[in-house]
Amino acid sequence: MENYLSVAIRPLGRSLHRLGSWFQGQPSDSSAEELAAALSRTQEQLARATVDQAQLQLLLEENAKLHQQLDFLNNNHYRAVSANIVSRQNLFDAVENAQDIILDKGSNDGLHPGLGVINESGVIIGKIVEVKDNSARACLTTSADCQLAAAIINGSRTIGLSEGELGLTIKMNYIPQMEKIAPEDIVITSGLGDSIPRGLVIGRVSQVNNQSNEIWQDVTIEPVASLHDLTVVSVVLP
Amino acid sequence: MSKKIANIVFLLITAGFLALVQFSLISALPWPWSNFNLAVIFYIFAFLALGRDQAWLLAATAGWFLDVWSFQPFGVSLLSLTLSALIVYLVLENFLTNRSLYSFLLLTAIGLFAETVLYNTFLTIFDWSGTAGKFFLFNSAFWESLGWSLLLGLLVVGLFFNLLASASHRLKPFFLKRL
Repeated sequence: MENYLSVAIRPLGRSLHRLGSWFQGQPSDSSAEELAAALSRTQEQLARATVDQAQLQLLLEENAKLHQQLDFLNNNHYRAVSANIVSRQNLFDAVENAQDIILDKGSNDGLHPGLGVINESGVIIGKIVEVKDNSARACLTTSADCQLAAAIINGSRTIGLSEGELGLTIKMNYIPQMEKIAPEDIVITSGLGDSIPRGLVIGRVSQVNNQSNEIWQDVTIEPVASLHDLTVVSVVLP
Repeated sequence: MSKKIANIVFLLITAGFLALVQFSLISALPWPWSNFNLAVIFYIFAFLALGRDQAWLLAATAGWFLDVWSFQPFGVSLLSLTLSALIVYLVLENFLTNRSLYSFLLLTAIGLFAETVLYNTFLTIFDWSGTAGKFFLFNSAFWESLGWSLLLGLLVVGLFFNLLASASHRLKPFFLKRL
């Protein structure tokens, strides 16, 4: 009798239990198919949540970078256009490390060749070399064809032209022997270029190459910013 | 007729997507993964799965999209991809089958080599400013890039060919003689 009753009320009982469980947010049934379905749903939700978390993490990082950039620009009274990097392009494939970055802003946003590109910390990482209406190509400071008017913060404020070397470091050539330069001196933009303001950090002197029998000396500069994980940058307007 | 148009539209969209992946995703990968040439791999498979005309359309459209988005002289990717697809087709038509793994690996190697050499040749021709520096054939970085491109391409083709072979009886992972 008890068994019959149990069987008879099962559908209704199941429905009621399902309803109660729904309010509690718990899985409602113990049948293998439904548990499997619930598990599958949970796995899907977990996968979605993982994707959401990854996207949120990316947004948080991007947000932090944008905040940093905004702070730097506000503190230094620079006008700038924020841009996303949409591609990295090596115009001449044979040059392994001469990578350029492609930005999603162009002449319609006020960009033109010669403008400086900075990262979230305000370190100059490149220069605009070519623009289209809605995109721009910028060379990185470590590229051989990327030249910047630079100054070394030493006693005599040595000025010169920096250019990339092997896609890894930056070189400043043709510095008179009388200039006193020491490793760890900071190198900044000199402001002598048309469109790049003075004072943006390029890097730090890592090596001074001076021979007593040479007229000139040169220095190797190590960039202070990583150029590999750039995603959002700012282009400083004059 | 409408099915043919739908197929062409689908191919154009696929080519655009391929070009976008190559342009934005693969280019951002760290060295040496950034040397992977997705467009060539896809048109090689298009020769197998779709046919000659579709493969050419895919190669040309992907090249066109790449030219539109990038800052290289217009036509470099379009010409290099289309001409390399033509070379692959001629080799496939005259010397190889489209069923065996080895012919696919050889076609991939020929396609990647032809595309890379043509691409750099066109860049050198169009580069009037001379910023390319040393002629690419004498540049060790060019050969290193090409080597990585071949290695990655052959690995991917080998892997996908075996996956497809296990799912289909058309493909055989060994030599087939032309009759």
